[in-house]
Amino acid sequence: MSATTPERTGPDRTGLAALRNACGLVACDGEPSVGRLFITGEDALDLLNRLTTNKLEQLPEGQGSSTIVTNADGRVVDLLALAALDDGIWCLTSPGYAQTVIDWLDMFTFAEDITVEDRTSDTFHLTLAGPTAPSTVAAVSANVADISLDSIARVQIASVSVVVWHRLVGGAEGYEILGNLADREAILAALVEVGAQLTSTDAWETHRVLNGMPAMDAEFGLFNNPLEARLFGSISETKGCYTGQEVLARLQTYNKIQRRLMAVDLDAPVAPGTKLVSEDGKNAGHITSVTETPDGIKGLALVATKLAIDGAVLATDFPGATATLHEPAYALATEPADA
Amino acid sequence: MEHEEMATAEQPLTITISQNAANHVGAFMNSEGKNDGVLRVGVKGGGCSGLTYVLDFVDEARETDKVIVQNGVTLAIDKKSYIFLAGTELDYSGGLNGKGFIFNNPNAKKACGCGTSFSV
Repeated sequence: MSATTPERTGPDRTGLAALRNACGLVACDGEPSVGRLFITGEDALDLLNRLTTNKLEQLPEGQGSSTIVTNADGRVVDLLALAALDDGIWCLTSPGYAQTVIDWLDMFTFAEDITVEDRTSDTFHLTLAGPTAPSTVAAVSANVADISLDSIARVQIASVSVVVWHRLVGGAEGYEILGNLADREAILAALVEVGAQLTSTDAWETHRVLNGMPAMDAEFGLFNNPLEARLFGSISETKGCYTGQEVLARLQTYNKIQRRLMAVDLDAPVAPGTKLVSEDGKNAGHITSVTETPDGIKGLALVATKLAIDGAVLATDFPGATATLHEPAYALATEPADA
Repeated sequence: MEHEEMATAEQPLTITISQNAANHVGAFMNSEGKNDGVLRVGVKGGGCSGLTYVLDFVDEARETDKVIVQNGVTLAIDKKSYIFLAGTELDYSGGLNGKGFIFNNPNAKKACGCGTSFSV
């Protein structure tokens, strides 16, 4: 059987239902694709620890972590997912950011023993999410049940060796499956056979927005710092110096974080970039992502910190449209209580 | 006028070590029993501003290193670090409130609060 990603013909309600209530399978075969880097070398972790926000001095075999590459101004170069196997570290970048991350690491590599291999074009990447995702992957490989959250392992699916990574993906628990490109169809077919439902990337985008998971170039990027996107779960406050650390520490210490990621309910299909307006007519931020759901139009927004209050209603510069603010689920699940 | 400005910009870029810094390098080498050693001067990624200075005693320079001998000290600098360090004077600030070795680096556009890392 040949499994392909469904074409979008309006909101993919079936796909979204699978992701929310069963087990959705996203083939991640669109462009730009999530960058898949394989990093080896004695100094790899040390360099990543010096250049990114999370504590990576130790990343034991089988363990994963998310971390953010920030520049000297504390702005986001990319959000990375890292996981160590016995022969190296898998690194997932934001879609289209593989070369940016490779170039960044290369720029800061002097005498270190590190090799970064771009495996994006010769590997496949599948994502499974939804409440029945654990039982679905367990049905194709008994060993998957042992893979706890933020862990990675090599397992056999349909007699093929793949890497299964259990982590928060799209803002909620799920599984990433990586393998050689030649094995993609066999793995897809095996997953569909045990009940995984192929979903469109549009349904995945809706799932992400509903989970409040920020994305590169929408909620964060070189235009802001990761604190605005509330990526606290990927930032260590105790690890010491890394590039951008001083700026981020100052913003937190003196409460100078200018904007705050919020989920929004919208009463009109406004476009990302639509401005939010305060009661006294001032700029209160902007909408960053918008998606149509069976329960109405939802989105994410970067809101002026003082106005980012759960339940508050803000006007927009789109005639008649308002945005009702809510706390985003991903931030609530990952940030410390005092953030 | 333009010619004069260009002439100033074309001053040779090298790395220098002050006599004070050289004296302290000599003393440290003595205490570590590496009198014939080489001072490796370099840069590595990291630190609040992106790049951090590195000082290390090594037995000898690598073939690809830029080697500078000044005030009785042999400095070895790898080529990539040299790009970020050209024009730097290595000095030493002693005393109770001294900072130890100081890099006066004209390429550094920004430094972190503690002065150990910089960006260009």
